This record gives sequence, structure tokens and C-alpha cells, in this order.
Amino acid sequence: MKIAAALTGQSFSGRGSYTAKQFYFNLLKYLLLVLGVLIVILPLLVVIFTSFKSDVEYTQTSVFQLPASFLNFENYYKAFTQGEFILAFGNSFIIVLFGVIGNVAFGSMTAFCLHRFDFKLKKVINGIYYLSAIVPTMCLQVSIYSLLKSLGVINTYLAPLLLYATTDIVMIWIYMQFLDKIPKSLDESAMIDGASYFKIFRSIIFPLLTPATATIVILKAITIYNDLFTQVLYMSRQELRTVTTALIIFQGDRINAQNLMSAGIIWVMLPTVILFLVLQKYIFSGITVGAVKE
Amino acid sequence: MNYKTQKQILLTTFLFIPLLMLFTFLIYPTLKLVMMSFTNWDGVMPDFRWVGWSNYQAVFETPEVWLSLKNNGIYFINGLVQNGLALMFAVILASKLRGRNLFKATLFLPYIINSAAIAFMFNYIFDFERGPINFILVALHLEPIRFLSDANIVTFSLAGVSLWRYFGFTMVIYLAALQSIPNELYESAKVDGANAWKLFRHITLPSIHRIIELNLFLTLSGSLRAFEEAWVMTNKGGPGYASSTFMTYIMRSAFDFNNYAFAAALSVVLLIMVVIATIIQRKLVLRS
Repeated sequence: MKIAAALTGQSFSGRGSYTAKQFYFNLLKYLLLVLGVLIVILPLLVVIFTSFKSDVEYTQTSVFQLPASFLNFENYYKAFTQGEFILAFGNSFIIVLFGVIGNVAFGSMTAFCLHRFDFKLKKVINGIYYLSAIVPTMCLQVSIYSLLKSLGVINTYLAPLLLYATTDIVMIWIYMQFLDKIPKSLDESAMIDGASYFKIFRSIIFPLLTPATATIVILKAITIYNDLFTQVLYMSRQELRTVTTALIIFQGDRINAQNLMSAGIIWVMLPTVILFLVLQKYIFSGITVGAVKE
Repeated sequence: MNYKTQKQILLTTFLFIPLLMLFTFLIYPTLKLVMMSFTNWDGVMPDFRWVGWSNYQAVFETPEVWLSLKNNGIYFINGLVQNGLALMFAVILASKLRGRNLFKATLFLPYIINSAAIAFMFNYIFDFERGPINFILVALHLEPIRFLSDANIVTFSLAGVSLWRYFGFTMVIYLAALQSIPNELYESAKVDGANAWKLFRHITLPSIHRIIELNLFLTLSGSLRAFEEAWVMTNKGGPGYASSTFMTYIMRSAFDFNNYAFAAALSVVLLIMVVIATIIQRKLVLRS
């Protein structure tokens, strides 16, 4: 039954003795998990080790050897200044901030309209959003590029902001799912008190959507921060370097200093990893809602 | 103001900008793309001619396009392996287990890491002279591997990076599906004397059937769109075109070779492939 439990992902009441078969089965489970974890962790560890090694140390020690000191922050300092990471983090922050605000505002407003009202164009709008789930915007970049070029916004903040702020369907789904849980009687009693629809949205619905908003803020922030495509294509000017593109520029400059590069890699990884460690719950709930609904 | 007028005003103000943006960045570009694919526009000059189907003909006659498609196929097969592994790990994690949350979080971690950081990290991991994998191979008296410069290997290396990155995501979705299966189903089947394999085959698999399809679809459309690894790690799909994917080839055609119209035709072909995959997936879901 222990095997049944493992195979089906259910817990069974453990009657009977703990047999040898069960023991080996459990052992196998943990071995596989540890192997998986090692595959995830080892590349990260190698980079972390390397990032703390001085130039001499890097050439003389093997990759798996621990650095002489984990307090040698020289590479981190150099990577931060030479990679112009203040500028990069600032630019990433700007596009994340406005991208997230756009998604929350437009996403909650659109979801509110589609969830609470019936109107003529509703079917058409639903259809367009359905289409947007099928057509990957990545395939459209050739024409989006020429469009943004004719608007004259390439190599300005506007290009990534326009693209990131365009609400994606997953955000609307997440909001819709939370709207299901907010009873319509709340709206109605507010209407008896004479509240306008705007007021109902602003002071009742939107505050009650906070868990959904939190999920969307985190998911979208991570997506935008990690995105490569849009930033490479539309923000290639030096002053517009983001954290993502800074690493690419940095690599072009000093291709052989792997220890310096490693420190740069860790700088770039840190923000989302910290966010993940602190806010796991929202991230997991967000991706399962988004994916399962699709 | 009565609620009917209010509703009209609210709908107009709330939906105007989102719809305008959707129109500008989704519908218009799609139509423009199709239109451009029938011209000879180079992306720079203002004028162009209509050239009929010749760009599409060129798509089918260009060997690099087929090579790229084959590489997307490698990503897809890799994605199937990823699904199998992810389902197995999800099943393990759904059982009673010490440290389950820690295992789950660690295995998921790569998914939230910056794509450029991952690319450069694996550049180092795959490094021919100083990389850790070749270090181990040499220590074991084996031949070191040219992960990123051997044309026969490079795409597999890049697909491996993609597996490392997305495995946890697939796993978490399977895990959520497994945990939503009601326990009573298993209890009653057990009373009927079903064994472990039968439980898995007749209860678990049918219950998560839809999620398996969903993940397979995500795998297929994701592999058709593979781009980031090749763009950064092998300098836009090198050596030569050995690790080129459909998407890197589109970007190179448009921005390196100024062959916009050809790139548009390529994009339309890619779009059609993704849409067909989506429709097949929806049909499968509706069938069940």
C-alpha cells in the first residue's frame, strides 16, 4: 500500500508492518529527489564559488574547489560598477513598475466589466482575448517592430512599457476567478445606498481583489524583470540597459574573466530569488491558476 | 445619474484603453504581418512591390528553415522527456514525504531566474576548457565534449538548459492537479481490491488527463517558440546555423539581413503551426 500511496500521490492509512519493499521504495524516492535537487543546485554553486575567487585563484584552482574566502567581494564590486548596474537596476525597476501598474489597472478594470456586466460587445471582446491566448506575440515581433519604429518609440522607455502594459489574458483569468468569489449582493447593497459603479469598483471590489493583485504583481514583476526578448530588441541603447541586457553588454566587454562574470550573474539572479523565497505562496498559486485555466 | 447611463460610461472608460492596446499590438500587427509577407519590403525603404507567394516559396526552399525546424523538433522531444520526468517527480512529491516543500521550492527555483543569467551560467557550465562538466569527464579519463561548438551536439545542450529551466514549472502544475484528486476515489477503489498500478492507470491518469494535454500543448508551442538560449548562448544560433531555431532565424532575417518580407512569411508559417497545435489541443479537451 505504501507503493500505491507513492504511485497515486495519496496517503494511505499505514496498517501492517514496514516491509523491506517499502523501505527500498522510499529510499528510491529520496534518491531521485536528491538527484534532482543536485542538478538544480550544482550549476548555481559553481557560479557562486567562482564569483568569490580572485583572478589568480580562478586560474589556479579547479571549478569545484571552494574559494579561499567567501568574504572576497571584489568581483561583486567590480561587476556592479563596470557593468553599470545602478543604471541597469534603475531601468529594470522603471519598466517593472509601470508594466505592473498597467497590468493591474487594465486587468482589474477589464475583468470587472466582463464579469459583472452584460453588453453587446462582450462576445466580441471575449473572442479577441481568446485569440490573444492563441496568437503568441513573439510571432508578431517583426510587424510590431515596424509599428513601434513608425511611432518613433524604439530605444525609449515607451516601447517596452506599451508592450508590457498590454494586459495578457492570464491576468484577466486570475481576476475573474477572484471575482467569482465576491458575491454580487455586495454590489447590490452598495447600489441601494446609492453608490456609483465607479465607487463600487474603487472602494469595494478592488480592495477585495487584493490577493489576486498581489499574485499578479509578483508574477508580472518576475516575468518583466526576466524578459530578454523585448529588452534586447527595443532597448539596445546604452543608457537604456536593463539588468538583463547589462549582462550581455558586460560579457561582450570582458569575455575571459569568468569570476567577474559569475559575480554579475549572481547580481542579476538575486532580486527574483529573494522575492521567490519570501513570496512562494503567491507565486505557486498564481502559476497554477493561470495554467490550469488555460 | 441612473445606472444604465453609468454602465455605458463605465464600460467605455474602463475598456477603451485595454481594447485600444489589444487592437494596436495584437490585431493590427497580425494583419500587417500577413500583408507584409506578400511584398518584397526590406524594412528600410518606404516603397515595396507585391510579390504573391514567392516569400512562402522561399521559406520552403531555404535549407536553414528546415534545419531550424528540425532543431525546434529537438526542443519538442526534449520537452516530452521533461513532461515524463515532471510527472514522475510530481507523483513522488504528492505522496507523504519529509521536506516536501523544500524539494518542491528547490526544483521550481530555476523557473524564476533571469534568462540572461541562466544563459551565461550555462555558458560557463558548458565551457570546453574550464567548465565543470568537462572537468568531471577529464577526471574520469573521458573525452571532453564541445557542448556549444560541435554542430551535432549544440542544440541538445541548449535544449538541456531549457529542461533545467522549465522542469519545475511543469512539475508544479502536475502536482497541483494530483493534489486536487479527491481521496475518496482511491479509498473506494482500494475496497474493490485495486493494486497500485491499477489505481494509477484508472484513477490518477484519467483525473489529470486534461492537465497532461495542457502541459503537452505548452511544450509544443513553447518548443516552436524556442529562442532565448540560442540567441544568447550560441550567438544567434551558431556555429553557422547549427543551433538556429525558427524564432532566431526570423529575427536574423529581419534585423541582420533586412529581409523583412521573408521574415514576415516565416512568422506567418510559425503562427499557423502554433494555431494548429492550439486547435488540436482544444479539440482534444472538448472530446473528453
